[in-house]
Amino acid sequence: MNEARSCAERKLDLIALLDGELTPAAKAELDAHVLGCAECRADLAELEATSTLLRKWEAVDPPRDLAPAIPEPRPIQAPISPRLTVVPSRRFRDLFLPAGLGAALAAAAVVLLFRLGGVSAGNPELKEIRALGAEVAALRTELAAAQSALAQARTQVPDGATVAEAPPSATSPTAPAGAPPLTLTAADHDALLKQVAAAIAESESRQDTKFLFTTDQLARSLSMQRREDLATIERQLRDARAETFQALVTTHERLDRLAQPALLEQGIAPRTPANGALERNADEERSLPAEERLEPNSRK
Amino acid sequence: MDGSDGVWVGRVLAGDPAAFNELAHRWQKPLYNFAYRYTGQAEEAEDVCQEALARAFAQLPKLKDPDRFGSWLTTIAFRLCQDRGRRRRRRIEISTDELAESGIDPTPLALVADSDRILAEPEDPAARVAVNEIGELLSSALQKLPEEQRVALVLREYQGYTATEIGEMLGVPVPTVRSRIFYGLKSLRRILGRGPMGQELMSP
Repeated sequence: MNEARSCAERKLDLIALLDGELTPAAKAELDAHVLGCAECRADLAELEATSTLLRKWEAVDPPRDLAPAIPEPRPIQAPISPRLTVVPSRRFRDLFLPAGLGAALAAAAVVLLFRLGGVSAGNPELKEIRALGAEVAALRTELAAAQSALAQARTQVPDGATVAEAPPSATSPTAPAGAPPLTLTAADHDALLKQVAAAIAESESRQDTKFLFTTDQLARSLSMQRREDLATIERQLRDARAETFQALVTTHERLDRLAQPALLEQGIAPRTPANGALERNADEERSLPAEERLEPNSRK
Repeated sequence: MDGSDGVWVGRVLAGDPAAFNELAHRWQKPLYNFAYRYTGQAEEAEDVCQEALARAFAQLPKLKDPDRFGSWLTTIAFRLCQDRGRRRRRRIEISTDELAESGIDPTPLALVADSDRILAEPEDPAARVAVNEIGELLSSALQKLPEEQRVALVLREYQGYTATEIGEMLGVPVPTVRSRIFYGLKSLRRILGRGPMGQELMSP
């Protein structure tokens, strides 16, 4: 501290002193000054006395409970229209919610569906979430179709067939006569794509129906929590989208690999899967279904 | 229930909204008293406290340091008081400063009359000046201070914050806060000393 500080400059230090916010050195210096300075001593006494007087005004209890009403986590309620089921059907769950994605997401999605109906269509935030939901549902439909196609294709590959393991260079249009016959033709591939497209369209229309739920009652009383829920749902939907998309890519890679020899046989150039996919061990993949690999991520 | 504010904030953010009840019950009394002392009006304080708690709940994800929930909540309440004060003044259209300039005591007349009654009979002053009467006197004196001095004093004397903490809450440099506290305390003493009970209050 500067020894030449005037008493006027020290006034603010007096507050710092009373607040206990001076360094030990500054406190010692100020204490020494106050001892020898009548003006500063009077100031300090006056500040302390006024402070003491102020603190005689005791706190009172609030006249009533002022805590905000916190909405309790709600059980899923009965649908307003008896025609519509709120709990996802077995089929809905199987189709849209692979095991690894958990019941929490299912519940969140139901709450979302239930509430969005009562909200004006103009809200951009909700539109976005709704679009995300539809996107995830579509991806899941696609994934389910791809997975079932994969399973089907595998049953048609005789036991012990290691087509997928063979390096790409070994599978040429002039495959050895002993190669197992593969039934997944280009026509099957097209049919599969059509199936996927149909499933996407179906899921979208189903989603739209769900979004038409009347939910005014809930929406009105829960507007504050809704915002929080929407943020959570959006986050979960984004995670789900990423996970589903990854699973879809993996499934398509495997499907392509299975279909490759058959396509080559017919002189159709196969789609080139990512190099990494070819280097993976097919047996190891088979013992690890996509759902299981998703699980650790979806739980966080 | 125990656990620091930060723990309870964490629980709310982790998806347990009911945990906010613990925070609200912990803080509603200090918050209500802050608003009451700052505004000088019980009903206003009730509304501000309730709204501040509701806003804090809605905006909890924005709280940067969960262990400083209290000062964050108090700042929300302070801003609400300011907004309401501004709206009210616009309605009345006559500021207390203008009243004071025209030589009119800005303290509401009822309060003046009341404190006169309280201050009128000096038989046994120490016994007679009850806690609530001290409150009325101090409240009326605090209301005569400029707002920035008043909030600094209320935060320091009743909420227990230091000048540094108040500076962070209000976004004001610390020396400025110390200056407001220093001159606020000085003015308050003058205001209280002017009353009929001044001598008595000022003696230790």
